[in-house]
Amino acid sequence: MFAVCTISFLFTGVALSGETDLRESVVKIYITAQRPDYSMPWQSLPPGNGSGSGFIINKRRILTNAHVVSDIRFLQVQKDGDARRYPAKVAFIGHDCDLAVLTVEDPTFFEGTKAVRFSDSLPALNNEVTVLGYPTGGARLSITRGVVSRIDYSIYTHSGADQHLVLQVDAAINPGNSGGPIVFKNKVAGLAFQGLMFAENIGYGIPVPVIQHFLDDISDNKYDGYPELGAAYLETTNPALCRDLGMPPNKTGIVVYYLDPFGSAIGCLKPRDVLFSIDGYKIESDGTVLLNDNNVPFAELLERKQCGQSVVFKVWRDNTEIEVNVPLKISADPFAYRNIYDKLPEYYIFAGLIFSPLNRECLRAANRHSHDRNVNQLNYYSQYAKIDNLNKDRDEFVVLVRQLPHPVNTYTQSFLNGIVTAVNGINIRNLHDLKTAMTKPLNGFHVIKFAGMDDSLILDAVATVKANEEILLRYGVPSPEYFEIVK
Amino acid sequence: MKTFITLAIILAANVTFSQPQKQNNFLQSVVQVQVTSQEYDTFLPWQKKNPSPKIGYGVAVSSSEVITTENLIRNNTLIELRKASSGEKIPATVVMSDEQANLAILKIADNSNENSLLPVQFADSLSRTDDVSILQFDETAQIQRGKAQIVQVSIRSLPSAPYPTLAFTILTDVNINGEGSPVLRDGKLAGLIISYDRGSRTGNMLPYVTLKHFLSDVRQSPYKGFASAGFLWAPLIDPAKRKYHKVNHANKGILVLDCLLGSGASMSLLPNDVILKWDNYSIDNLGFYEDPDFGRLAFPYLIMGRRSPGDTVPLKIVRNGEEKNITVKLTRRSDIDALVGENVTREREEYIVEGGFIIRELSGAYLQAYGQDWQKNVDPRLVNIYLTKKFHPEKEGDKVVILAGVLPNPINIGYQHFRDDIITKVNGKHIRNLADVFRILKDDGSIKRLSLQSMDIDLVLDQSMLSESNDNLAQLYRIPRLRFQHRKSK
Repeated sequence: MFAVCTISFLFTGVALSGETDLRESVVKIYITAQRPDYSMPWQSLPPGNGSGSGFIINKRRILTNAHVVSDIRFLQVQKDGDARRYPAKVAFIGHDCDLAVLTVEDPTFFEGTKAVRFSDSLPALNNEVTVLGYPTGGARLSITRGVVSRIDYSIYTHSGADQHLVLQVDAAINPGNSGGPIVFKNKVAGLAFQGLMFAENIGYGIPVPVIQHFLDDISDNKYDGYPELGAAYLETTNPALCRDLGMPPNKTGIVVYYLDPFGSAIGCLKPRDVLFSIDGYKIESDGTVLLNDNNVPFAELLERKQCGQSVVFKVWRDNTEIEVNVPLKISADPFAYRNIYDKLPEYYIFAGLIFSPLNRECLRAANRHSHDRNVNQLNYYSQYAKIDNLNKDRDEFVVLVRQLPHPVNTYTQSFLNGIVTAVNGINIRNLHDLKTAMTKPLNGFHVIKFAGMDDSLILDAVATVKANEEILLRYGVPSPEYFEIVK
Repeated sequence: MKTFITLAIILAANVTFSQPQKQNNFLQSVVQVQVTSQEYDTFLPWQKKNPSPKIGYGVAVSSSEVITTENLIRNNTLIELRKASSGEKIPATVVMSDEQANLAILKIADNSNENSLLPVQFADSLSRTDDVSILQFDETAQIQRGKAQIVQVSIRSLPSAPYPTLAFTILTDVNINGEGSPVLRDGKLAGLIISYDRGSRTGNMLPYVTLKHFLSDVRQSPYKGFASAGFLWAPLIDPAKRKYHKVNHANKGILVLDCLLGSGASMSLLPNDVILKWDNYSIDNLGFYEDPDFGRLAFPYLIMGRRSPGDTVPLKIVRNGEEKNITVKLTRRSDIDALVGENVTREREEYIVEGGFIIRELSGAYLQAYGQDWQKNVDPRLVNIYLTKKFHPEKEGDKVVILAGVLPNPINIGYQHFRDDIITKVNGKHIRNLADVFRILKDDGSIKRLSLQSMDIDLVLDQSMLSESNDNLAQLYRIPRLRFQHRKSK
């Protein structure tokens, strides 16, 4: 198991004249960040200081990694050869592609700086690149050099769920390098963003196509993110399967077997559709397309698309070849469990029981007790919510994440990490429902039912009224709830 | 009716002193049981794992029979008995074994005079604070005697199977070197060791009452075994919950959560019933009662210890706020009724290998074959079924049929990454268990297509290649039989 860690790069001064120029573009970013405390969702963890790298792009903006400036409380930037630190702001942040754009109000900051130019194409394997940044080990700008050792499609650890193109280089990438430019022939070919723990000479950069996608996306002053096709497919490498699907013998493609209800393809594609081509590119039986003489996953073509654009598939359906246009949309999927940033956790406390929508932090905390059957159920629900239709009747999964001990809830431990299905006879679609249902006790009791459990949690309604106040006071909880304001 | 057991202090002399065993120095009564065991390989069910040796002890119950633990002789390929101070190994066979009790009776194959054993006497009482002694062999097969003290009496799960048992916990001064070691009190057999922890120097033993129960059952064919009621329950301590279930009796009663399909409880108990009395004993809110012989015990002992399958016991319950008297018929628990069977004895499981697809039923043994961290390592969907629906088949006979894996071969190109997926249909026909698949195989001659849960396309096999592929797979992967079905199909 490799752990990928976030990092970024810099050069020392060897160099081509171009790199000297780039020194005027690279900035150091000083941050104070603070994560919410998911075990006590009404408060936050101690703030921490750190630094990263970034570089200046056109329109007086600074590009860096999203992970450098996530959950930020205070942010300053500094350029090479200037002692002053300038306050900065996060203008746009894309957690799915780990990129962010910063702005600096003080126009003097940009004096003597230069916006970088981006490379028009990806460097080839074995092309020499240099990396600039402010990594650990010193205070000043650092430059390292290496070659492009691989261009691949890989997981972005910041969100923990998204895959995009990455540029792998053999130059050392260390903490603090994050956000620094990877330079090829005086132009920026990528942005250093993560390394690989327990491996040597493997550093990863975000290549220009992903950067360009981000910059295009924010050109309308808002970030939508990557659209999700939301179609699971099977290769058609098996001839018997091809015959069963009635595919013409000379055709290749992939067969759709599941459509995500929150994806773009639902309603356009159908299960058993065979996708022959995407935007004119022929799809091979293993799901790849030929792009610049490389066989790459067809999803790489989707990488270039923005929400609002469309993709056109040639599809084999009911023994006929048809054309299907799939408009790409933002995926607002409450059942995709990405890492969360820049958000305060939603919670609702009743009788010392802390309820929260299922999220990745909650899963992480629960999995520290891996042999608990409720925890296994959380894992099952998080992975199979849509596939096994567990999200039927739910907008989100409401979980009993913790108990603040008090006589009113002494006998509730066995329900921890359980998923609430009904309270007082009312189906629970979301945390709001739970709050409402708690105002309607049945015959003097609150009856809370959980998924996969025969037993119910029973609370004495009268006792909870007094207990609610006592518990908040005793445990120093300023508010019994936090709900995100719906835009 | 209460038998008070006086605290017996074992003096060094009292073995020779004790009357019935006057001459018994246990040389002819305790044997070392040397077992070679071999399980089937869960992931390659047509072959067996490496055989491995196990050593434990047994105690003579007749001139040719020995009682020992079932766990010791599980999956044996050879059992040999060794007497004290002797190097000779006498082959033995299993007369009867019961994983629900963790007990077995072995018989010496060649019952000639020189092999004959001296049966021990069973103790007839044992208290929570008795001093006892333990017998085992040292490296030279000399009998070694250790002292021990009983420190706890409780109902706990067997170490080798998920069944409750009455266990006496002992604290000892010797390192116990094998299960089945006899525990003696006054020269009589008080129990057999079933587990031991070196760190705390404590062990658990099955007491004489359980051994006697088992032995008398073995003597009376057909073997009835140990009883089960077949329901899930929870303590009822929470005052709010007691009020909610309208239970007014202070500190009494447990809550019925669910009754297992096909069990005796399912005929008369309902979820949310509160059991106040079981078999005329008051049950407290934690599920304990006052046993006349052993003091405070968890009530499952009233079922497995004091009753037998087939018995009907009276209950006093609260249902919807009203007190009622009902009866529950006890039965012997069986894997057959469960959606996911345990297969604790690791019996050979049925399978089908067709076109490289390995098809089988999900079982507890299969999941546990993934190692200690199986709950993390196995697909959470299967783990969830096991943990939450194991006892809940929608219909009697329902099982979970899985595509356990695919043995790569040209016929299954494109399908080789499937693993631990649930099969819903074979050849377009719904299946509920592996017997259904065998039936379809018989009717249709082969597997043409598999439908998997939550997947809208089928895995199709090329019929023109299938027969040749099966031959090829059998040869390549060295599979002596591509299908295995127990003769007695459910």
